[in-house]
Amino acid sequence: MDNLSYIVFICIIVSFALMLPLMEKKARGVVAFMIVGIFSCLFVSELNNVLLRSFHNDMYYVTTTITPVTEEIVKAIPVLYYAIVISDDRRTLIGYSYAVGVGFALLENILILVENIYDVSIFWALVRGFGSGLVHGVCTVAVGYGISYIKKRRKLFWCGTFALLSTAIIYHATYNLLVQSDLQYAGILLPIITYIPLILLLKKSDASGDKRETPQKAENDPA
Amino acid sequence: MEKHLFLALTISAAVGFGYGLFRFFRKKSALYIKMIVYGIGCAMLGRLFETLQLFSNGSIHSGFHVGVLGVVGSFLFFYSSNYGQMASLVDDGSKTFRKYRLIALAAPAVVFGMYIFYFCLTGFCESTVVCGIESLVIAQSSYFHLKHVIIPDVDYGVIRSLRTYNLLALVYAFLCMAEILLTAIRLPACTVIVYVLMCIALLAFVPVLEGGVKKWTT
Repeated sequence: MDNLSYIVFICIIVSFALMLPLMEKKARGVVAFMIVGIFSCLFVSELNNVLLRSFHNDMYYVTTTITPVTEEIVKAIPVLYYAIVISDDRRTLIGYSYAVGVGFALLENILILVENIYDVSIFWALVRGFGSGLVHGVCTVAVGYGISYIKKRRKLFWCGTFALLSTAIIYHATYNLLVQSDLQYAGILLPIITYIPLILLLKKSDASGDKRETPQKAENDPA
Repeated sequence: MEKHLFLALTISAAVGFGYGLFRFFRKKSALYIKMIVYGIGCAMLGRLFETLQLFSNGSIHSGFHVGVLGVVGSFLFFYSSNYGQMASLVDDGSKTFRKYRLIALAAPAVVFGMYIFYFCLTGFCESTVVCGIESLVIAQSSYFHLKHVIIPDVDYGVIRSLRTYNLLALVYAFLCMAEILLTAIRLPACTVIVYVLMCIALLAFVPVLEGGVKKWTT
């Protein structure tokens, strides 16, 4: 089965694509970015295979040094494109960035599942779901969240983008390194530990945003 | 020994970053300060990766590894904060400040001097390319750190209050270059001193910055 990645990709992408016309604008954007994430994963899986061969199949080196770089760059491209060309609204960017990450993790998990179908378990599913799913989501959100700040200041843009990508790459590589070491459990905990403060931070910024909007609404309200 | 030094660096950066988050992210703070805290966070992640690699593998890959991006990312954050937020406030590009712009070039000159020395010791290899990129980022950041230490504060009084921070960041930049240089010259005592000083710098960044911000806002 040479084209297994493509078979899985088509199975998922067709269902998602057919769902798009039925959805309202904001939800359609999220699903569209999930599709972009799935496509990014397909592209990266091909690229990583080429890189693995060129690094003499040194799986450890490639997964801790090369794949975090390629994966984070490819996932960041649609987010950067959206921020530069369409909108740099923070809340929208966070939602779309997370969708790219989730789409990416979805195809990646399925591909690993079908390649190791006899070795998987419920524990494996929990580890992949919480670990890989969150890592991809959190890394792309970090880029999306940061880009909403630096996009507004031209002088910060290039250096800031590179710095954000560096952060996401290191975080991803640290996760890959941990899950392959004796500290496997720390690797699984890492994305969960990061995800909870991220959610709290977003809830807090949403709440402060609502507070700022309320007096304005009152002023604009003719009643 | 190497493991413990890297662990100490990671812990110092983590404490510095945690304190920065605690002090500057609870209330609304200037983006300049937040970027510096992000820079320390980036350094922490890079050091964490290197430490974990040391503990799990026993050694750090000599050429390109992701930990390098921690140093690069942190200095890019420092550079962006100075260039993007402060540079236009303190220097309007006029002839009055030309002298300071020229003097500030001494910092990147020292960085490149250290890199050339490293290059002469190791010759051309993967490490020299990686360290070259690192040096380039450190050099551009160090230029602004030195400039903001020496430039007179004409209008706002902001840059005067951040002089100690910029001086500390400049010292940290030279320490990072010294770290690169010491990978080529085996001087264990110097290595320990450089790492200890880096730990102190990482711990001191936020308190020093906090002192500066207090002066700036009062």
